[in-house]
Amino acid sequence: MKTRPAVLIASYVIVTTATILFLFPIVWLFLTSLKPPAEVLEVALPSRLTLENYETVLATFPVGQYFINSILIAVGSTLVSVGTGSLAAYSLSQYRFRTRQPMLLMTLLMRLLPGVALGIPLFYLFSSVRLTNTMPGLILAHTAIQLPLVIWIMIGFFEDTPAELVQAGLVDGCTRFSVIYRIILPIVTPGLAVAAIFSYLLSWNNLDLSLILAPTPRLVTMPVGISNMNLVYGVRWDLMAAAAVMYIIPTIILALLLQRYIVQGLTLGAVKG
Amino acid sequence: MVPHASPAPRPAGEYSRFHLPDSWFGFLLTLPALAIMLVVFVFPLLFSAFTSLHRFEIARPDRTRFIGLENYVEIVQDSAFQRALTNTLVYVFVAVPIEFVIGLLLALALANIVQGRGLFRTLLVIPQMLAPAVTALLWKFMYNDELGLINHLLRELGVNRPPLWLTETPLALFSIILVEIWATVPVFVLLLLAGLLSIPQEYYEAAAIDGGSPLAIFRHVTLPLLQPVILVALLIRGMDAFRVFDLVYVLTGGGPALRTDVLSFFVFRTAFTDRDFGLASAGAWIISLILLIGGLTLIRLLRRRY
Repeated sequence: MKTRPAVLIASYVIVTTATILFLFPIVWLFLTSLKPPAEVLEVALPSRLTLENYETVLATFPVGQYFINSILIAVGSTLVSVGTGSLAAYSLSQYRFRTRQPMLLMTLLMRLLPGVALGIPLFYLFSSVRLTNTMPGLILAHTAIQLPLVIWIMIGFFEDTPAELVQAGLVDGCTRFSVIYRIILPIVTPGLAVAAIFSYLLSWNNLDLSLILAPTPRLVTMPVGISNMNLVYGVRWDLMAAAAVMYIIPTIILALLLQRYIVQGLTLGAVKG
Repeated sequence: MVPHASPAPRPAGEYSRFHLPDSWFGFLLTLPALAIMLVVFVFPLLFSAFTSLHRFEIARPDRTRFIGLENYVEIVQDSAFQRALTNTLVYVFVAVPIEFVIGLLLALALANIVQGRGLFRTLLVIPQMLAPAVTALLWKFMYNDELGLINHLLRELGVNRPPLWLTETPLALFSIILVEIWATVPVFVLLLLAGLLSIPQEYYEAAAIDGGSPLAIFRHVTLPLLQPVILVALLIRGMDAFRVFDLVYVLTGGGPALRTDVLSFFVFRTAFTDRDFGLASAGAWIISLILLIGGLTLIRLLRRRY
């Protein structure tokens, strides 16, 4: 269908305006973080750009430690959830067995549950086995929010893999297990990357579970640290902006890598982009 | 969908003495994930169902005793809980429809555009992927009376006393809703655009040949075909909004005077400030049950695919 020129121009105007509105606060955050400290109390564009705020915040606040904590927890939980979740997804897309439907149902419910509903009992249970305030405890808790996403994304990828490949492998003498790592694995590597990036971001962005399960300073993650900074720093928005920018640069890079699959990830595969 | 993997013909001698049936092999592959789900999902939920039926304070485990549904009765009658519930419902039912309408408008505009569509879509990916904690911090800065851009601009425009966005009631709740809208409209845009682009062009061409006006085409072609995507998007984002925690925690901490309290935050405080795990578990179960209704509806929608 041909779009009339007037409609096309209106569309461009609407979309451009909206995009500017959506990105402007983020640009403003970047600019604030690059302001010279003397200008923090002025609501204006910086007169020159400097990295001083970054140096200050790194020197006065354990942002580096938060950053490392966040990375370790995100990487650890991603390895666990992608490793176990993709295996489960393969089985759920390939085989029929009695616990299949209940398991699919369970993953959906896991996706819906509020963090506090999981965090409260986990806090008590983890305390009784000394897992609160530990890295493994947080990693395990984060896998709970990642598994549903990994499983549903990977089911989508496995379903797009021709069934004949599995059949051919079996005929050629592969076992059911070696079919997985000789034939399926190389094909779905991009899918695993997508699932891994999604998982990483879920953990990287998580506030509630980290807040509940690791109240000690030692294990503070970036989102928890950044929300605390606000209480400590009050009006030093330039320093907070610097910390926030350090935190969101990896997010933005990963989100851009993912963009083709975001629609699928947001809807547990119900809508394909 | 991959059909059932039937036992493939194999060369003689390939069978080992013990051959696991396919159904068992499939089940075994799910075991590691299943084990984790039992530990971090099923068991905690059962445990919280148990604590919700007990007087259970974390500081005095010795005083734990069974009280039936008393926690549920107590929490439902609690005016603070009722306020949190009302706020949460206002939050969901104001934010989500607005997000949907703006999102649909932008998606329709984007569907018209061919050149540059990819770029816009890429740029719109960014706001929604930021951690809600950062989004909240970002907007706390924008809303700040002295240092924030919004009130600065309002003063420049001649407004003498611009609003205190996060400390005036009932404005504060709507300020949080605005942040939610900012973060979620791009989600609707991406979802609805994906839906729009999957509608075959021939339908539009046929409708245009039949002389349908643009509005008629939108009502009778676009909307019905987009309906499944719309339903999934509304349900999923509605449930996400219902769970809101991070934005409230960082933007207002429930204030002023708990006027922006929401269910998740109420339950969080009951557990970790009041240390009343029994009551908090009852609250958590009420939230979960409400979400379960949404979840079961979603499953019915998804079943058409799976």
